[in-house]
Order: sequence, then C-alpha cells, then structure tokens
Amino acid sequence: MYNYNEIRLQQKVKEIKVMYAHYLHDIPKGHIGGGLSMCECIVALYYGVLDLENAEKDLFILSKGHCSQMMYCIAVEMGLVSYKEIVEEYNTIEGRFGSHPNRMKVPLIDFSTGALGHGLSVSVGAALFLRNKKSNSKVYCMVGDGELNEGSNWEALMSANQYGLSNLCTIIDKNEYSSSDLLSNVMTIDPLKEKLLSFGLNVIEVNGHDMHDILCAFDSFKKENHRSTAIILHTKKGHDFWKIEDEPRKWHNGHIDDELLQRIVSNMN
Amino acid sequence: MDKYNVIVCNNPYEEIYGSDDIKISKIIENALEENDDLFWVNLDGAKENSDLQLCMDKMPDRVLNSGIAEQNMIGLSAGIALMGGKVICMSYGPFVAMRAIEQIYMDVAYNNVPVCILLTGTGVSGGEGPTHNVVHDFAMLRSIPNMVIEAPADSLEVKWAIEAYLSNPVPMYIRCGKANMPLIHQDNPSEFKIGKAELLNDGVGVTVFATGNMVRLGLQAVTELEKQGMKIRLVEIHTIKPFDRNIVEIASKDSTDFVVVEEHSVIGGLASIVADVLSEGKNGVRVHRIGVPDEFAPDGNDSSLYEHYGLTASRIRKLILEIVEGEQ
Repeated sequence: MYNYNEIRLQQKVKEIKVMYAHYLHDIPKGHIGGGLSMCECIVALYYGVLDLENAEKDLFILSKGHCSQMMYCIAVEMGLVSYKEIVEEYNTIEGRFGSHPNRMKVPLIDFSTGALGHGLSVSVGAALFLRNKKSNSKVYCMVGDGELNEGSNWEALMSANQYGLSNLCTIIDKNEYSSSDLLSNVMTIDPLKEKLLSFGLNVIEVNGHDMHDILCAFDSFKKENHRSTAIILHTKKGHDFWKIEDEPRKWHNGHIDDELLQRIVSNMN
Repeated sequence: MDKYNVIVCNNPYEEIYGSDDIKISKIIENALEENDDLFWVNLDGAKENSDLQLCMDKMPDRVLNSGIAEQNMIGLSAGIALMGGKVICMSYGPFVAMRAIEQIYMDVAYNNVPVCILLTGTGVSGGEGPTHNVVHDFAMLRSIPNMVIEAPADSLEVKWAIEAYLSNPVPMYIRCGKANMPLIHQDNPSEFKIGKAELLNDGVGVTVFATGNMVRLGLQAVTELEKQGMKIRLVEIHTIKPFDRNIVEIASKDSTDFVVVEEHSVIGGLASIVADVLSEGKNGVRVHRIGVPDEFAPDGNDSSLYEHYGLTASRIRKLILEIVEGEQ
C-alpha cells in the first residue's frame, strides 16, 4: 500500500486553496472553477505520487492548460518561485507566468499547453520513449471533461491501448461543466466509463475531492502492468469556494473582489 | 553546371519514376542503427515486405505505426522529442500539414522540440485527385516560428537534410516528391547547407528560382537554352525557411526578370517569398510565377497534371524566351 500522510496532504490542499483565493484576487482574472476542481489531485501528485527526486522524473502534463493559475500556486508552495513573482509577472510581456503555462519559463511545467486536446498525444509519445529506455518513470496527463469533446484525445487513447502503455495515466477532471454550460447540455461525453473501457483502458472512478480515494487510484495505476489507465475524478467546478461552487456556469473565468475574498477565506476557516 | 546531372524529362514523372540509387527508407534505417535515440513513426505506410515493414519487425520499440491519425502522430512524436529522443515522422503527404497544423504549431514549434516531419508525394505528384494534393504547405508552415522547411531537389538532398537534422535536431519539415527522387547532385555534402541557396548556373537578365521537383526541370530548360547561346541563371532553393534572402538581393542587381517555379500554389509559396524580399530592397524586378493556380486541381494522373499546369521544362524554356524577346 502507499505511504502518504493523508492528513498532511489535506492540510496542504487547504493552504493552497487559500493562496489560490488571494491569487485570483491579486491578478486581473483566471480560470477559477477548473483550478479548484483539480486541486486535490494536483496536490496528491506533487506531494505524494510523482517521483520528482530521481534523474528520470515522472512527467505530468496539464492538458487543460487554462488552469495554469493553480499550477503557479503549487510552484510557490514548492519553493520554486515566490508569490510576488507569480502576481507581478502574470500575463505580462516580460513575465514568466502566462495565462497558459510555458515550459520554457516556469520550472514546474513539463509541456506548454493551451489549445485543448494536445496533452494526451504528447503523453503517449513520452510514455513510448520511457518504455523504450526501460525506465520506471511514469507519465500522467490531466484533461478536462469538456476537453474530451476534442477528437484528438480519442486518437491518443486508441493508441495508448494499441501500444499497451501501462506507464501512462490519463486523469479526467469530470466537473460536469464546459466553459459555457453543463457539458450534458453542450456535448455530452457520457457514458464516460463505458467509453474508456471500450477503448481497452483500465478505468478507475473516484470522488475527486477525497484524498484517500485519489491516492488509492494512483496506487492501482502503479500496479497495472498491461493496460493504460484512466482515472475519472468526479469533481465540482469551484469546489470549496463560497458562492463560486454554487455558480459553476458563472465562474469558468473570473476575478475575486475584496468582499468575495473575505467571505471565501473565512468560510474555509 | 557540369557538376550537375541533367535529367531529360518534360515533367517530373514523364519517364523517370524515381531512382533507387538512394532510398529514403535505407537512409532512415541506417540512421536508426547509428542513433539509438532515433524513432521512426509512420502513418499506416508499412506495406507487406517493404523496407519499412522489415524495419518495424527488427526494431518494434522505435519504428512505430501511428495508424491513420495525423494529429496523434505529430503529438506523440513531440512527446518522444520532448523526452530527448529524435523522431522522423513520415507520411505520404497530403494530410499531415493541414490536418495536424495545430499540433505542428503548438506541440512541435511552440514547445521547440526536434521533430522531423518528412512527407512524400507532395505537390501534385499524388495523381489521386485534388484531395490528395499538397500545394499549400509552404504558405502555411512558413508563418510558424522555429520551423525549418526543406524542399529537396533529389534524394541526395533528402539524405543531407536528414543528416543535418540528426546532427543538429530542430523542428524540421522535409517535403519530398514521389518516393525516391532522381539524382541531380553529385555526392558533395559539404556544399549543402540548410538556409543556403545553390547556384546551379550563372547568367544575367533572367534568374530562375526553382525548388523540389522543379529544379530538374529548370536545369533541363537552362541547359537547352545554353545550347542556343543564352546564359540564364538558375538558383536552387532547397530551404524555404530560413530563406536565403541574400541570393535574391544579389540576383536583383543584374536581373530584369525572375521566373519562380514551384509545385505549390502561386499564393504564399516560393514566388511570394521572393516577391516579399524584393519588395524590401532597392531593385525592382518583375516576378513571373510558374506554379499551381488558385483552384482545386482536376483529376488526372501525376504526369498529366504537370502538363496541365505547365509545370514543365518546355514551359520554363518558353517563358524565358518570351521574356528575353520582350513578349512578356
């Protein structure tokens, strides 16, 4: 079984969410909802699951690159950059922290993304390379559920099955919303689990805000030796933020004002 | 001009159907044996008993079939290159440049990972109807930063372009004619440089710029004109990007007319690049374009399309004569 301190990770989630609330207040605007739905998983990855110590590190690609703001908070928390830097250099000509993440500029970012539907194919290639090298490193790629409208993702998953990439873990942040509306009103991807199973993948479904469940899911992935894995995280867009979590359609992209910040932070405490 | 092999054929596929002197598949196979971090990804191209299939059997971890999925092919190639590998990503031409343009733009160029995209059967060499023509790729790809675009004139230049990629891996696009291209050059690799135009013949008055399959037509045309006592400059452009601006500036000083020949739309390709450079200089030179007009091509086999569009040695010769005699 895994050996993570769940309590510590849950505490880390809370600290990062408080920083994130301040960040979305201090910068003009950001993709608030989608950053929050993936927060627990990102913390699990960077503070537990990913092997970042060895020379051959695990790889993480945020295919839903618009949620870069959450990644920048993680970078601050990990001591790679300062909070001041991610604020002052956010989306500026000379700055490093664009609204979509750039691997040349931000130490935490393994691949620059922005347009949806790219991360999975790149992850397939990375996994192929690692397997050829007989490396123990793994590749993790997070996609959004709205993002799965893009056909390119399905080409990638088809190939993950064909190549038997058991070192590749696809993570779907299923927060049920695309940028404009409930995904089921726009272009449903359901039934998702059945689709992924029919693509020959090892599919795990969990509550995306339950740290224990998330860690167990990654543990299962690491034990799978034949098939490529897909973890469906059932999440809430805007999770844990007062008002925002009740208005998911409104908060795909937005700014937190003084009053809202105060309410969010006091509500979290 | 003596150091070049003049091939006599009015259009590229009239009689000579390609040469087996230097096969692309053998070039890559040798490279795979010498570079254990090189991958060869192909798009459903491994016919039974082909060199590619034999290679796939021998090196299944590094020679991969992406299936009929251009976007995934480019994406996964970017992933391999991201991790430190080199990749030759090869397909029969028509669908990659358009279908996977976003992957080329974002995964390869923007992330600046060294993927070599090698396409065969480009231009109108497909002979399978307009859905299978590639006459827009220069126009699209040259506006993407970080891309190197090579349009080799023969299989030796394909070999040198691949070698250049292997010794200095960068995002690269190599646009070949149908399969293996007959040899114009002699085996002098030191004269081949990415970004440098090659002067195949010198002259004044009219300068011909040619690229890819059209180079051997241009060479034939100026050779015939030389027999009539006319010295016409012929410049081979094998690097579309980064473009050798200098050669245009030099040629503009003693030319009244340029003839630009390409197996590409007259919009946005080599003629447009030459005109761009000219317009920034001090010397006015008239640009005559021989290329594919702004329309969808009719059906027809490879040879007939070249004749239909005047992508021929005879048209090049005729146009030069008209210019010299003041009729153009």
